[in-house]
Amino acid sequence: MNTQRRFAYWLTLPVTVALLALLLYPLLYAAWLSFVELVPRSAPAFAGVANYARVVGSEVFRIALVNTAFFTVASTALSFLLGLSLALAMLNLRRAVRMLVTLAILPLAVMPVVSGLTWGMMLNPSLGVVNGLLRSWGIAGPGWATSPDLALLTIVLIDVWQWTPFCFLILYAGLQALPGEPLEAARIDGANGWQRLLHVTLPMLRPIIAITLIFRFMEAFRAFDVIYTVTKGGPGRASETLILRAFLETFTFFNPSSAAVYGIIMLVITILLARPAARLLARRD
Amino acid sequence: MRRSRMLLTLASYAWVLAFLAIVLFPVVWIGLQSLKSYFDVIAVPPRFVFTPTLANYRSVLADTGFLRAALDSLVVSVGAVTLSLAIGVPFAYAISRFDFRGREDVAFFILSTRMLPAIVVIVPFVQIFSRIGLTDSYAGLILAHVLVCIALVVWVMRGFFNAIPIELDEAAIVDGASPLRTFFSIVLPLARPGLVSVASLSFLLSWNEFLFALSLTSFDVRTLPVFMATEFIGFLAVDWARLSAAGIMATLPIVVMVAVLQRHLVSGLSLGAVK
Repeated sequence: MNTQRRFAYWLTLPVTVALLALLLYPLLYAAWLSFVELVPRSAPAFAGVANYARVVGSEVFRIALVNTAFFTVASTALSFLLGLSLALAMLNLRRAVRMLVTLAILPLAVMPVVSGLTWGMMLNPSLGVVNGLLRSWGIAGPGWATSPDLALLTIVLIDVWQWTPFCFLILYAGLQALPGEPLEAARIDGANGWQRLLHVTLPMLRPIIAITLIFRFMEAFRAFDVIYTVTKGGPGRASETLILRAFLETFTFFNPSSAAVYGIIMLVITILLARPAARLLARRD
Repeated sequence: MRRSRMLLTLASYAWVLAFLAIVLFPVVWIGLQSLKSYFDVIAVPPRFVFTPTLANYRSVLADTGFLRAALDSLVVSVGAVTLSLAIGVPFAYAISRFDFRGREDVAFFILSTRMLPAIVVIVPFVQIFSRIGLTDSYAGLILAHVLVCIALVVWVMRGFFNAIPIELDEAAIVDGASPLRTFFSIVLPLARPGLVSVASLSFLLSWNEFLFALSLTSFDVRTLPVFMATEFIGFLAVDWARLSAAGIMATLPIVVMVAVLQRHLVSGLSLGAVK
């Protein structure tokens, strides 16, 4: 038994070390940065919550927070609803035709940077194919990523394109794994299609739905690649989210303390959401 | 009843096909663009019929740093997958087989790394890396990517190990095998589907990862996502023809991998929540 304990200890050691070095230490470092004022050529001075007060009180933060909330909720909701409807539709198809699943999940494999650049090209106001097609039907297409009113929505749609297959794939697998008897019983009791969906299928699918939503939400919350490649937060701050702002604070404005504040705020929001997610996953085991 | 059933089936087919058309259009379009001449690419109205050319592919391979970037990506991804598996799989086995205090907390903690917004560790990484000389190096980016992959490796492998009866381990021990031997020659071969799934998904995560690569590397190491995001964007114009060709080549290996491994994908994407 003692050798076994020692064995288990050795097995867990590398990950423990890696997480201490790659996660815990950097996080403490970020927390420290968020509480100090960095003065060139002298020791950092403790600043209390001054950095937090400055960031949270700023208009820039408010815009980034609102944009992040809109982006995250809209992208999660749209990709989930589309993914669910597609999964339900796919179940009605003949078995042979269901091979189409492979095609439907293609965007999952596309490098997000490449999908951002591709959509950026397609949505170019004057030269892009989308407005080109619209024009041939007599519609004047908008400046998708260049209009302040549309930029954020455009990013949402690109993100939905990329991530709907994720929702679809998980929900589809979940639907296929559901037992058939309750549905059959409901059918015999005379429930119609809608009633069966709302009162039998969806309640049974609830854990899978929760997992899909949480994962999707987390991914959207920290989405960076597409925003960076398509609008870089613009025009103005129209599509600037928390993560993009943190990135700009780091590499454009060279303000590590402000960047750390943004990072820590995002981390706290994530932790608040991660607990219920972890509990759900653990229950599935 | 029969009629409404038929309508439902019809609507389902229509929806799936419409969805596929929307999903596939950008992929088809970037494919077409990659085969066009410099002027056809920006033609108004957009051209669907044109004389195809492979010139863009040739030019990307010959005149840009594409191959170098692909090599950098390969080194980083293989390194990150290898290291993540080397440390994550034994860890998953340990928390599957051995009961110790705080086991669930440790598992939760690892899971939460998957949800970590990378930006929060980027500022510290930039500063720490420059102090210890890891900036713009393979090793630095590989370490960052281990952080990206480790939750996936641990959680999915834990699920696979849990599904293998512990009696097998015990029998091997009774027969005189060492714990290490039991792990390597009894349990690991049985968990091979899990290893395939975890390795390929980690590879995908690392291959496509942009934020760490953009922040931690610059000249010496430039992976494909960073290359794609910078190489073809000029001050006034974007080189769309070559961008498309490079995009196709950067994406193709992963697309093929995902198509082949589709069956393994679900458990990996849901961190083992859906089998």
